Amino acid sequence: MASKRINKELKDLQKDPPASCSAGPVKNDMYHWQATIIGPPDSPYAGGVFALNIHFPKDYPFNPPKITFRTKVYHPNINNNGSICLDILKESWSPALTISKVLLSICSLLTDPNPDDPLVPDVARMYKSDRSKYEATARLWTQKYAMG
Amino acid sequence: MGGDATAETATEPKTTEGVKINIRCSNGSKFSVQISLDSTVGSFKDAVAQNCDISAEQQRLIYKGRILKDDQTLQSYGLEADHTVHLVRGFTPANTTGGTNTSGGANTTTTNARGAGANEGGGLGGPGLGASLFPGLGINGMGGGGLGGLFGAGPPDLEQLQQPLLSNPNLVREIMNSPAMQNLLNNPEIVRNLLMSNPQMQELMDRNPELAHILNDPSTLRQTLEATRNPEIMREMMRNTDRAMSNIESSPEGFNMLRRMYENVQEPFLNATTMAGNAGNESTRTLGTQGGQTRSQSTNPSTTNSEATSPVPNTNPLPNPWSSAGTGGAQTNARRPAAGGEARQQTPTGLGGLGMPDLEGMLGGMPDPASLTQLMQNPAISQMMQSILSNPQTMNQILGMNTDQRGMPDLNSMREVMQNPEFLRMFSSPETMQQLLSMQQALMSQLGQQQSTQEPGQAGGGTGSVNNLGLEMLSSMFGGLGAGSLANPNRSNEPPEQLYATQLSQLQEMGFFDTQENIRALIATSGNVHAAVERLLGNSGQ
Repeated sequence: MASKRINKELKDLQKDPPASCSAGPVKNDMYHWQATIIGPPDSPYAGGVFALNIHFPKDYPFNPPKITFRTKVYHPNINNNGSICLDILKESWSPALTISKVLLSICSLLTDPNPDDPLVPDVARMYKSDRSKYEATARLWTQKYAMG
Repeated sequence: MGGDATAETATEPKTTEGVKINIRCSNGSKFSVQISLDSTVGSFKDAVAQNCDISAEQQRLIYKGRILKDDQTLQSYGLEADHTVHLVRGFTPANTTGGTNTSGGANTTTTNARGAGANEGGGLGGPGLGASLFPGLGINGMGGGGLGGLFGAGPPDLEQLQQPLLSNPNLVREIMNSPAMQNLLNNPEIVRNLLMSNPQMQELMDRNPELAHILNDPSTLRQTLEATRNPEIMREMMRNTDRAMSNIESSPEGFNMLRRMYENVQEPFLNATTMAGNAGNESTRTLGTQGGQTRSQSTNPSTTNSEATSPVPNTNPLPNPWSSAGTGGAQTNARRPAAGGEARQQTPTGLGGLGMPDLEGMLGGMPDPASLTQLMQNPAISQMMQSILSNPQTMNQILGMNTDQRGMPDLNSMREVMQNPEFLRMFSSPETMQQLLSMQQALMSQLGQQQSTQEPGQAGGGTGSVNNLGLEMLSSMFGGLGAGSLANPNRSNEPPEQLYATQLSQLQEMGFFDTQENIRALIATSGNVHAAVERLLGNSGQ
């Protein structure tokens, strides 16, 4: 069941991927994918290419995939290990969601962080108190880690 | 597990003939390329480059979450007919070569290295026009021709002066907010006169009456000048312009109208403001890449849309930046650093990042007679002098700015002298200025002879005290401009950990955790966090 659904999603992604996301299996393991997100143009991450790891559970789509960033990101909801604090990857997951939609949600999280439910409190504090400094730092990190 | 994948993909024929691959740009636009799957990614990039404005070296192609490497084949990545590959503009800037601009040579025009139908970036001529009405003022990051561009023939070393100003927005803001500057800028007539004194600008006005109308509108001028003072307003103006341009672009005839506007107005405007200052300067000017728009000068009389990248690497040595300006022959490839973060300028530590060029020359009070004469004969400068000297309020403000100067005559007598029409006429006459200069030179040479007869120790002491006085005067002049104390640079005995505690914590917050490296960077940049970050990023070797 899981592999059939994963294959379908892969075919859809190859034919018509979203504008800023790309994903596919690592080697021939259909349960382990790698993905890239292109930094949204209206954000401090513009111009960066961010790599992610995706691990599908055996009972996918009834449980959410585990997604982590491989590229360092300066963001209130993404920590140093690349873990993402996003509701649809936890309690709000629905089998109707696809990897394509999840990646788009992560893109929109890059554009509009959620500082009220932070994974990195320091960054969230800066986002709230000194937005320009937050953006400058995020831009620097993007330049340093995502434009290689 | 993996079997399903092979079962499903086996139905699609894998042809090594030309297959159609879709390319999706980061701005959402899409196009297709016909190519054999046996081709390498490198040759695929070349094919893509023919269909868009991103050169092969700058392309980053992404498929199935992987960045494609040039030496691999498309087949090795499992690429198939009708699949979509993402295209992102890479970080490496394209090389641009500028044609040599000699004073007697052909007219130089700016070449737009991006195609008219460019897939990425803002609308046609977006940042250039949107950023500022007066690119020559160097407001929008390109640096333009600076004041030199506006005034027809640039005052000497003005570009060097401009660099530290552009890289220090707070200083610019404080200068713009100073009462004397406010008074000048609140008089649109002065600004208009400055602009109109440029012959190329006048010609442009004659050709485009609507442009003359804009420049005759005080509110537009005031808004533009306000934008130079406030980066937020500048950004807002750019956003509005971009939005307006994208709206225009979406209408059927809009794109052509934008192109006409670009060719008839913006290009000549940029030429008027950036080229004029370079006319008498026998060195190549390569303007920095801004917003993806590579501007290079060529002797081609028309504006072309060809790619301005050079296949051959540039092997010409850069000129010595510390050599004096008048070093004879034409220098090729004299490079002006961009005003953005890339231009790391070494500044004297006591100046707090002001980075004034040729400080001793300025303090010695001995301007180069030829350059001063050239400056005084410039119609724009003389006009400005006239308007300043003839306006009592401006005079009072300028005189009232530095009341604490030692050795200055009392203000009332100064004011009387300055308001004497005979004095004004003499002061604004280039001949008088030349006479004054020759007198000054004679005096200075006599002083030099006297000093040479003294003992070396005495001479040293004498010059030292003169220089100190000059430094103190300069420091009190720049007192309100945040330049720090010039006479007494901050040389503290505190350990750097304490001295730069706040800066270190800022760097920590930004994710630079190597304290020793941070301290080294802060010491090297005299505690300037932005410069330290630049330095740290440079060291990390992206």
